[in-house]
Amino acid sequence: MKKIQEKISTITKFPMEVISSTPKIEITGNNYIYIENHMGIKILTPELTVIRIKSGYMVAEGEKINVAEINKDFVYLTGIFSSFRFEKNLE
Amino acid sequence: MIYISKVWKFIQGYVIISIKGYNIEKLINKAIQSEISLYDIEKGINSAKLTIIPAEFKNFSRLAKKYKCKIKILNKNGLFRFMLFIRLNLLYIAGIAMSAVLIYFLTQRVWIINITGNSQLDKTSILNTCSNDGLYFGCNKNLLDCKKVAENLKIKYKNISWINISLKGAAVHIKLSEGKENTSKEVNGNPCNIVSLYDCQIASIVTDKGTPQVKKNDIVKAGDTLISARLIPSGNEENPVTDIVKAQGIVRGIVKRNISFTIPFNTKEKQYTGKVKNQYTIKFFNKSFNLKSKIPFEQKDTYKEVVQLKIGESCPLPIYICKDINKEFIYTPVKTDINTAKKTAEKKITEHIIENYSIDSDIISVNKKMQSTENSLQVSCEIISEENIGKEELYENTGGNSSDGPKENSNIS
Repeated sequence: MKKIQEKISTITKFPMEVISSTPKIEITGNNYIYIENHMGIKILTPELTVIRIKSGYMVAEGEKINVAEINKDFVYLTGIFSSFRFEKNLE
Repeated sequence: MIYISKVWKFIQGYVIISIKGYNIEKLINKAIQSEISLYDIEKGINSAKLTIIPAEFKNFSRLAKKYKCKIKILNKNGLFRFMLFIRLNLLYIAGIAMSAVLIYFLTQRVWIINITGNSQLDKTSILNTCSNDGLYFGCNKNLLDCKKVAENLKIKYKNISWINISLKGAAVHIKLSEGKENTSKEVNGNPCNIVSLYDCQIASIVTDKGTPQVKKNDIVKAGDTLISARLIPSGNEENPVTDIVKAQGIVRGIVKRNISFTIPFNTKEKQYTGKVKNQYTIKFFNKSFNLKSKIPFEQKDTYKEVVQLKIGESCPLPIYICKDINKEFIYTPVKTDINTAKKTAEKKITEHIIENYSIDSDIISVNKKMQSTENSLQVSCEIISEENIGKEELYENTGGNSSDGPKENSNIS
């Protein structure tokens, strides 16, 4: 299924995040993270934020982390981020 | 993007709420699945603070109940609330608008005219001339032509050699420099004699220009001509010159002066009690507002301090705070013995010499005579000094002793 979507994307030149629910992540400096196609918040604390995405989890660590805006389409996180990683399973 | 959504949120209005419960993340996820947008989520321990649009608040509170979370409204805000605030506080808003207009009006006017560099010219007359060209207190600074004002001032006052008028904020700075006085020019150019300042004995005379009228050891009186402006040929010159010049030379004389004073043994000394009381006056342009209270001191010394209010360095305001510092003092009787009185007398004589004698004067002798009476010490002192005694005086062609050689020295013995 994923491969078919990728093929359609290359043929039609549509972005992947439009065709499938692949997350699109924009990081501006170490203060702003913008995530499209998320699947909700798993953990939310000022030091650690875990966002559920299609392929697993996106973990952002830092200080004073806030959710500036959240809706069905995107999450906009602000704060002072120190690390950012993807994880398949959350231990 | 985020800014546009913030503006839209403000237009729609928003509610700031706090949530307490154990399933806050789940509640948020459920809310966004139900197409509820949430803003500014600040998570604490089992609590969160967030912003929500009023239209979605009802659905959100229903969900919160489902997830056993408690909701508390902290604040309501937005354009509607702001409009309501304006309607309810119309006078407040009008006051802000009025003050903005007033500040704009006042900053468009000239409130301070600062004149520097004038020594001969009167400040009031300069201001009067400026007011004819549109520069006066409270004039519109947009209509002010500094160049024209400067030109007119220079035309009116011939002794202004340089003038600069600059506008900074609400202040106009007039800087000018005046030419030298005409009277000094006349003395510099015109022929003059050198006359004696004091009654004295001539110690030395060195003539650069003119005819010497005295010689060493001559005794002269104040006003006698020492060096004449008229050149008188002695008869030995190859080309005798008869002319009137500006006399130049150095004449030193031995001058005797007497001073006498009394030093009382019983005196009163001023002593400050340490009590200080301040009085304030606020001056706004030329109007003074007295905030003075009664001073309970019988004897006091008053010192004045004036502070001008400023906005930064280049914008002084026409508001002055004058502070009168009143220090109370009392006179305490002091008894002086003869030795202390003698020391005081000597100190006084030294101070007199320092104060009254120029630096090129040589003190030849100081003869002191001190006589003690019952209540005081009588001091008389004769100071003999050698000093420059010449003074330039304009030469007068008709009459006067300068036209007559021998008559100038009528007092020579």
